[in-house]
Amino acid sequence: MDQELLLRVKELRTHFYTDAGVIKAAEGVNLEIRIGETLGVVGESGSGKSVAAMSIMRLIPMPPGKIVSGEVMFDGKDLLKASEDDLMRIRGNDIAMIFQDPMTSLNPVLTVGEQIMEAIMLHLKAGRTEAKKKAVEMLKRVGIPEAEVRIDNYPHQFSGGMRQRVMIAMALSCNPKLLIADEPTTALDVTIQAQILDLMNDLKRESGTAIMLITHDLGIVAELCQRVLVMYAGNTVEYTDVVSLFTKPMHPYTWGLLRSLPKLDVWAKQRLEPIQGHPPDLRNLPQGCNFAQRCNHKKPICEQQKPTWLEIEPGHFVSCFLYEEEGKRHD
Amino acid sequence: MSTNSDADKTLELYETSSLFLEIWDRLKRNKRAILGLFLVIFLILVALFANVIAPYDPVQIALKDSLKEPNLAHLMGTDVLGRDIFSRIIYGARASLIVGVVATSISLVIGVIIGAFSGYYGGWLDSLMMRITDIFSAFPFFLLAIAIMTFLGPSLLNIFFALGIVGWTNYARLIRGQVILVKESKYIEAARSIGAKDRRIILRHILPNALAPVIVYTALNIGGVILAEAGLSFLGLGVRPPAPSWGSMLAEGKDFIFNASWLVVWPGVAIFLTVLGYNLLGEGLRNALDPRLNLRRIK
Repeated sequence: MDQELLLRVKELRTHFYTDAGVIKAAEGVNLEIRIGETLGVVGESGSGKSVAAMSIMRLIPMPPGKIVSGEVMFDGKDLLKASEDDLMRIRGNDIAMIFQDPMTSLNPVLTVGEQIMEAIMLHLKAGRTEAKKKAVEMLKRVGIPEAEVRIDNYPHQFSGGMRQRVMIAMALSCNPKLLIADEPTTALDVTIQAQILDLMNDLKRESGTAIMLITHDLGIVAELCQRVLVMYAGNTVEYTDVVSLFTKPMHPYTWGLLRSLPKLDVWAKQRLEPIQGHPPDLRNLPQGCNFAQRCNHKKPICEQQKPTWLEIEPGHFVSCFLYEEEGKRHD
Repeated sequence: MSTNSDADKTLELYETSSLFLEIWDRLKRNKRAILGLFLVIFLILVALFANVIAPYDPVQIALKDSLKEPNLAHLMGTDVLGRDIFSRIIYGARASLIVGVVATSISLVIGVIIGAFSGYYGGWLDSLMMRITDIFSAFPFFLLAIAIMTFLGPSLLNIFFALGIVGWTNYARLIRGQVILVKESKYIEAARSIGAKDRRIILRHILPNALAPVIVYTALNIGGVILAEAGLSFLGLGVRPPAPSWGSMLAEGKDFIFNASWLVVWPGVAIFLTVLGYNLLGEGLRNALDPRLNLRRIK
């Protein structure tokens, strides 16, 4: 519990100014990651998971995007106030990223070696031969056979799973303190998914890198993460340790998520319970709680005011009016 | 950690080891492209070794040999001043090729710089540069070249400048479009996420990926520029006489077209084959560089 804090994001707001209106893609994101810990970020498509991650690295395309307000404290520095030069030093060095689709995240005209060496030469100030040695070593670490030969191959000569390994090698080559993995296994088939997740877990244990794992698979969260953040329509709605999330979830949206999962231990044929309705239009968010229109526990106040981000129990944060008074549910 | 299926899959990919080889592989199966490549290489060799191949000095006047029909001594005949047409065609290749390559390079460099900046940074810079491009391309290509040449006077250096200046707009547009397309790719985002700077991203990640259509257009454009040079020289605005140029040879021969047709036939054939060569090569490259054709190979 008293692990040191690595990243703290407070009330982060990122908007996109488009011709069709202002899209509030992240509207109040709060999270904490401790050193060496894995945080799972879950939520449906469009809930702002990726935008939050990109905002942390300040990789939001501006324009049309803009980080409107908030605070991103990483290792004692506020990244939102840092200069572009400082960020260049941090990206790839202290914070690295893995993307969803390994088929498109590698540059097709450069060999994988060149691409891994790029980060090494950029941040570790290594020469070419030294960087190449390190790149081969990284490829071996992520389990690519015949690394000495494969390093001179182009991305199209690798399969999807192998490419994701290359991406991981690239991301971890500078021993980052934080690895942001944006749905790293979504584009892979299930057996390869398991391998990649195992690999990430092994490497994490070896190097002590903290991971922010963006996913919509609660199974992955249960297996890999120590802490979970649930996002909905640009808001963070619940943040807690993984055990509490599954044993005593607090936010009605989290209840809905868990109820919509298939269960192995239920004997009778039982229908899954989807959450009714659709997430709100991010250009036109409701005045009250974003989840109010789909919530079964809605109170009058839910449609008038935004709930606040409260620590209901130590380490368990929820943003819901059910708990506005000292953790007491009153519905 | 690795699976056998992965290893098997990758083993068969070992054989094709580079992008370049793969493109060459596709190019050489296209007969017309090979014909184009052959013509282009032939032109380059002729231009390089003009002084070895040409039997006569191309500017040597020999009035007693005036207007000789093609014969063994003069394979393509002689012109009104008794100069050997064959030698003049060969030296003309040199002028054509130099103009084609240098003017295209000038266009390319201007176009790449403007197109890359416009496409990458966008916003007002993009609007400003694209309006300048619009203004330039609003002038008819050849008319602008004529105007510039009239203003500067005929010389090889001025042709480079004139044809280079009038040709960059298409490059700028082409490259801007490509850069906008490529900069949205995930791997550019990935490059940014490892802390690469703008310059590095443009030069190392974006431009190489934006280059395929540019290569194609360059091949086609060299043919066009050679044609334009011939046009300018025909009008007396190109290569300064007596230096040989296919265009000026056509102009000198046009008065004799009925009684000494070889004066216009050979320069015409030379221009035709050269432009044909570049066009076939350009078209072949377009097919070879088109990634969609990959699908046919994989089946």
